[in-house]
Amino acid sequence: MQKNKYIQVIKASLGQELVYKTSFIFTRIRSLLTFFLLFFLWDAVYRSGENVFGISREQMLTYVFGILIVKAIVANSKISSLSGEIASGSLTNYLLKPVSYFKLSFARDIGTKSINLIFAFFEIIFVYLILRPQLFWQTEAISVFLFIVLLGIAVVTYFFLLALVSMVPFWLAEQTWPPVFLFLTISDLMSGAIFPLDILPEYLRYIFLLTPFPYLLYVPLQIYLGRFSVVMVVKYVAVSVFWLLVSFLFFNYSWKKGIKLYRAEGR
Amino acid sequence: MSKNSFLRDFNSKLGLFLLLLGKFVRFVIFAVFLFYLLSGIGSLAGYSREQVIFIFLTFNLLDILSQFLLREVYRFRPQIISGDFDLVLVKPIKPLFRAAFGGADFIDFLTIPPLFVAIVFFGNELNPSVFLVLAYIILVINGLILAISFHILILAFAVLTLELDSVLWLFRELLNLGKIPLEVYRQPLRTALVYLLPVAIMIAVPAKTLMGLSTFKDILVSVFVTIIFSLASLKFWDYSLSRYTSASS
Repeated sequence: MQKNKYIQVIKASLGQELVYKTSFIFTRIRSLLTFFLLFFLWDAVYRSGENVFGISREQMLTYVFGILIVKAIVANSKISSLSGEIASGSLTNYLLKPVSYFKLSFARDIGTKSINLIFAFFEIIFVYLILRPQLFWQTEAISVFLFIVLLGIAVVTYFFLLALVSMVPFWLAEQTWPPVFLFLTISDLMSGAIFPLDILPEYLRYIFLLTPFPYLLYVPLQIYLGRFSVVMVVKYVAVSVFWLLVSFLFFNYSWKKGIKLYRAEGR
Repeated sequence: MSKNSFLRDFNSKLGLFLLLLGKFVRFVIFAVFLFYLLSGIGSLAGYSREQVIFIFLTFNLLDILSQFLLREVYRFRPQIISGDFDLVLVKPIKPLFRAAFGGADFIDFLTIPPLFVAIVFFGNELNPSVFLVLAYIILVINGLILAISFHILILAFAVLTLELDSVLWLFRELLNLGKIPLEVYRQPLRTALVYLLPVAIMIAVPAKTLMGLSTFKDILVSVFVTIIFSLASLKFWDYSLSRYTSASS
């Protein structure tokens, strides 16, 4: 019964995405336009040579295709609506029900991510047939396995981090959108969703890698591309797990503190 | 109206700071990316590092100016859904003016001066003549008018279909394609960006004009397309208003 409850939410979420068809289609077109910008930018960069910043052409174009898939899986989360629900007081509706707010949100995310992933898959086939790029196919099973594991860690870490910034209205009721906007902007840029961090100078890349953001996209994709040594892979997997635990602890602590302050003021 | 909008934005100083920081970070990190990329490869599609950065700055200028002036467009859909647009229609003010320019964005306003300084600095690096600078200013204004026309089309589309946000963001994503030289894109996308979706007229033509790379024909076509688009968008707005049913009120 318990399981069934959240499975029903996943099914409802899948259907909900397709209710607003125009909006959904336009969102997917936007995602494709971002892809085109990155693809053609790197395509032009590699017109001058086959190896730029130590990355081969096929690795780079695979990275760009990878962004489309990884973003569809990792970055699509509806948990940011928590900030508005705290500010408006509508969080109460969930607190009164026999459900866990976060399990419910995560179930909704699974639905959203599934539908986006399905569409991303068809988009990739479509653009691949048009552009016919040479892509890098990883044949080492361990690299593919670690890529999938890190992707799973990234999904949960992103969920906790976004939930964390969405809790700001517990303390500052009017701050619903600005913290979320700042988080989305920073995570998009520092995760490697616009460019691989390899092009940055060593010290800047080092600073970026001290934050949790590159472990959401850049690191999993680099592991898929087989660009790290075994030692580095072990190190980055450990750091990814570390950020998962840290984000969970902060998330858990903030929720417990925040919910005590919650007074449904917007109602 | 703009004063009220400014006061509202300034009321929440922390929110203002965070939004400003987000916009600043987004701008700086992409500029840093272009800087290091071009430092590594020398040129992109025949453009030097300074030229590519200047195109990126011109994109930002158009993007920020249109958002600064047209922020109210982002708030239009709830008025149509709720029927509150009726209250605008009965007032002695042009409904299009209210819908498009009814609330300038203070946050974007704050980003204009530093952007202006960056444009002057990088523009100066390209050694343009006074004539080219004047032509650049005129073509940026021309691009802004075209961007306004696009927003009017989106408003009219919203009156007819209730769909606004996704179309607006799609327009911004299309505009985003202009932040790098259009020569980067392969055909037929490049032709579409030049003729069907005039991103070129808004960003590439002004920037290339300052670099002395545009022909007189490019400039004339830009102005002509803007005039046609502006007239068409106003006609479409009038048509959409004639179909407005106030169904939700």
